Amino acid sequence: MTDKNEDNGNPEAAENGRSGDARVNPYSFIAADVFCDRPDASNDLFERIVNDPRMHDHVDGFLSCIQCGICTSGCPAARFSDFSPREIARRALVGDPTLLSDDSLWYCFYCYTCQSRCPRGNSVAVINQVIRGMQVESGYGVKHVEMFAAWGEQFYEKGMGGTPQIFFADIAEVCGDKWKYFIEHREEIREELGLGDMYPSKKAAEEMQTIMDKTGFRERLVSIGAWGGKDPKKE
Amino acid sequence: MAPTTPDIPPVTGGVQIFRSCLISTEYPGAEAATKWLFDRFDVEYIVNEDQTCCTGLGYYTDMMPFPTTMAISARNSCVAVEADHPIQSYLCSTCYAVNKKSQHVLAVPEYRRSANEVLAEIGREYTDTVDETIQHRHTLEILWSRHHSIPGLIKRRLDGIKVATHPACHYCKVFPDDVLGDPENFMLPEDLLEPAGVIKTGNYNEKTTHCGAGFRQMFVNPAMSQAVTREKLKRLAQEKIDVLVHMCPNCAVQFDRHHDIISQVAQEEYPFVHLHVQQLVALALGADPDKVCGVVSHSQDVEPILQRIGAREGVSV
Repeated sequence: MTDKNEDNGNPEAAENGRSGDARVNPYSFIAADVFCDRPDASNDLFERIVNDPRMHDHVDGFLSCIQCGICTSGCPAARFSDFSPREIARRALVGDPTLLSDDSLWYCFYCYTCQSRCPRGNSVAVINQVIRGMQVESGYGVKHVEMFAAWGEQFYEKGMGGTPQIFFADIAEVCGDKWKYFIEHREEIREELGLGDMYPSKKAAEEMQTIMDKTGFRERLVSIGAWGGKDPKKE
Repeated sequence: MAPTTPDIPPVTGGVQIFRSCLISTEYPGAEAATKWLFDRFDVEYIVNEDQTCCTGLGYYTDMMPFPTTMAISARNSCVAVEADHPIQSYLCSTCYAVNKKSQHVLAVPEYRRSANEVLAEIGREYTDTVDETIQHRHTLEILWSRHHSIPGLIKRRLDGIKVATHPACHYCKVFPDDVLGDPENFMLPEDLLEPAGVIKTGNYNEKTTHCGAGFRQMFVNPAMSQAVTREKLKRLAQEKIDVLVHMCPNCAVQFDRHHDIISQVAQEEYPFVHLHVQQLVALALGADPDKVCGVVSHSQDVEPILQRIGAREGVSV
């Protein structure tokens, strides 16, 4: 029988005149922060992920993630960097707001190996797409996409992609003269192959531009520095 | 090795070859070879100038918001159905997955409504009819559905040529349940080539590993991107293959155009070349390597293989 005022290794409790082990969290010795609330947990982040149209087929899988790590075992980014799909899934589930300024998730290759192997049907590849989009919207992630702005302009104007022109010099250095020759003679080579104009029709390009305007792509391009940051349709 | 790809009935009903930006700009021979094969397999097809880019590169470099991609996909489906050629034949696996994913999302009434609000501005509507009529098929599926025609059309044997498949991630992993065969050991390309006498590689360690392109990664993180590619090249060199066959130009660009620099930096030899599946099938059926397969666009020199199979002698069909 313990004396009410006896200090059972707990001076605080003893001070309060209570028995040493009556009000103490018995787990507090494990780690001070494990059982604390995360004061800045973002419900917004969690809700944005769960309600994103692209997560439509993966919400149940996301909610039932068992942290098995299959996503990470096959991930090419995890193989060569500190990026871990398993960690992203865990942090997304608890609404960790630091995801909104996390640079590691920009290493994801969008190869979908994680999605194809998840035994629950989750998709960290899609979660990354959602979070990267949020980062770009907030401005934080602009630094990760602004190098493609000039390519985006070309796409907006012509309605078609291709290897981004601004990288041509680097690619030419890597690929050498054979590739340069092909690019320089591409039109005649295509003609010889019996292929027509590679760009969409004028009508199609116009329709595409309307879509790009109405869904916010032109604004997005301006926000990442296309056209020197000046909206070409607002002059 | 007997074919493991399940037989499917011939795909019929109006095919639209869905032009790919990277095929058009980097490997146009893959498109020309596809048309040449379709002609021989009696596949009725069109190429439609009103079809636009799938936006895969813009979307996967995180520039383009998904609603833009989805609405453009919806528009392209409307265009194909309107042209009475609703079977989209994708030359690029990214185009395939982007359009299939869009179709999945467009099946939800709320998202279809928002896409149609945008399409109304251009006088179009993604209706139930469009949704039920449009088909998203990888070109290789359409070719496989006609594979019984192949033995009778072979003009150049490929005996002794060892091929391996690089299974495009966006075909095998985004919708693995819809893959024709085993998404973890995809064999369709080798099964297509089998009648011509190729030595099949089948499964190999790293077969399911991503090519390394990773859209933004090949430009922004080239060291990491090429480190991934090197794992595959190194493993395939151990398998002693002659040709790695491709089903996506993202992969083909990554492998074919970076093969030499990786070899140089890693100080390793990878003595094989890269071709799209359609190019090699067409070569086996007698197609002209230049006028049909466009081999000039390839970075790895395919001339030795062409010599081996007799593609540099005699008249082409």
